[in-house]
Amino acid sequence: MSLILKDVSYIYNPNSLYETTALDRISFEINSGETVGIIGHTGSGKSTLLQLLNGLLKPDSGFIEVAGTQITKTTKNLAALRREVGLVFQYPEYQLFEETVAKDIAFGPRNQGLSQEEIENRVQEAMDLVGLDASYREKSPMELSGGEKRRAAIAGVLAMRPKILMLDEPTAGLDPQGREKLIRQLMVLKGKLTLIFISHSMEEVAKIADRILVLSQGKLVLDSPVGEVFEEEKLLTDVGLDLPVIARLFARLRERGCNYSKNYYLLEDGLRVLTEGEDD
Amino acid sequence: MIKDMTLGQYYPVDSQIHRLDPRTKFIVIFVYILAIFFLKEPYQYALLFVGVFGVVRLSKVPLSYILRGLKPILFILLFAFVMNLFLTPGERLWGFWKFNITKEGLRLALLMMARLFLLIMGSSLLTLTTSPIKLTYALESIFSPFAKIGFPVHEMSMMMGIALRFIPTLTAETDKIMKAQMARGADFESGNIFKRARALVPILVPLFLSSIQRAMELADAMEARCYHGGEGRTRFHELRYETRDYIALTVFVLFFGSLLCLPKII
Repeated sequence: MSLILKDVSYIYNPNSLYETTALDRISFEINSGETVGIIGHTGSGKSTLLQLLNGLLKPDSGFIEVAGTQITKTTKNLAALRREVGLVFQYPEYQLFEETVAKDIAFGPRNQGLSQEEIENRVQEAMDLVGLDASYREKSPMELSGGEKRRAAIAGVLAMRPKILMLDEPTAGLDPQGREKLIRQLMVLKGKLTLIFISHSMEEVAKIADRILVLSQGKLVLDSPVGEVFEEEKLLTDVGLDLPVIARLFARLRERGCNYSKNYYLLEDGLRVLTEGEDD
Repeated sequence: MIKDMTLGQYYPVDSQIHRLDPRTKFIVIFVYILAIFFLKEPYQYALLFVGVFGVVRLSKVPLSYILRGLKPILFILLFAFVMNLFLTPGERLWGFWKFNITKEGLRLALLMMARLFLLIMGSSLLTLTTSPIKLTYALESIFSPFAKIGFPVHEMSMMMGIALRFIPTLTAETDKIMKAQMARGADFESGNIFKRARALVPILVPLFLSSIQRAMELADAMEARCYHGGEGRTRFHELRYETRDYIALTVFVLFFGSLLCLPKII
């Protein structure tokens, strides 16, 4: 078991005027190698959840176990845990600060106290993984485009070789091409490590994730394999979410009497079924 | 971490004190701070404490909330207390080795503590009950006579308003960057002072970059809406003295007048 949460709650600004419960008794488990998408309306507690899993925030009650390390309210010194769990924040490009891309990517491995040679390997590996070629090594991060910055920042986390990679809205604010490229890189990583990501795009979650967690107002309202989630149109709309366009199309077609067995949600599947019919 | 600072943060509730004209509060606090240093007798301080806690009650800000905000300066208070206690010459009460506590020292130490405490209570009451925007309006209004001799009052108060407005934004931003670097294994808590100073670089560089970026965007946004300085500019919320301001000022003058006159009468 790579990740366990049990009755985890988190409250911002406890005992004050601004008190807000961000997470309310959440429980789930994630196996190593799984790819999990987290969806939910703004303010549903998604980002808080990721920060808890990395030990940046500690649960007010409940119990978290990540890669064998337990996190409770009183846990201290989580440096070892952060080595195992990489967290890419929303708009991660603001974390770039070094003179060159290579130096910036080396920041994480250097903090781990690795040898110069090993750092070099890690930087190379991480740049390959996100598709930045050698010409970027000596460039200043400020010269890069938005999408390239994003990938450099993700490389900075990958260079620590985490066993679990978590991304908070990795494609937010990118143009369609940058988005497409990044999704492709994530697909490459899929299966190699435990991948947990937040997204507002249903298409994206449908494409990348195997399993989806739906959060609403700090509660876990649904935890299902990806195909089953998109059968729950009512629940999703109730919590302010939507089906992927293709799934919505199939839902409407089935309402009008078309005999499809399920809501297909991927563009390719949808096209195939519509043109050639279902294969059983 | 940084978010725990409550000292001087606006506490948004509705109370008589909140509704006072910010200029009234400014003038009262100014005189109050001056007056604190004229008080010499312990009973004057006792009365002042009663007065201040009365205002706290009226302001509907929980006392525990204000006291929590005092935590960061607790050290300064204690330091002043200890220094005065041991370093004042006079009649010896108690002592060991080279350290002596004198009667004068004890008195001075207690008075100094009370003064500092009242000073901070008073000024945090001002900021707790007055939104930053109102504070700058008040400053601009109080200093407006200086505009006649060419002092850029409006520009200064606009700058101050913008600075105050962006404190929470910058705090949130710092928190975010710190967390992002911590996730990459950055360590801000161990090592000697040089190591710790160097550990701040990964926070400061992104923070400066985004601040400059934000400043330019704000300037563009203001110009796009035809901002051109104070000349001929009107306000959506005009400051106007109400009955409660006159009542507050009268109460204040009577209270302080009698407080200062008491020693002469007794």
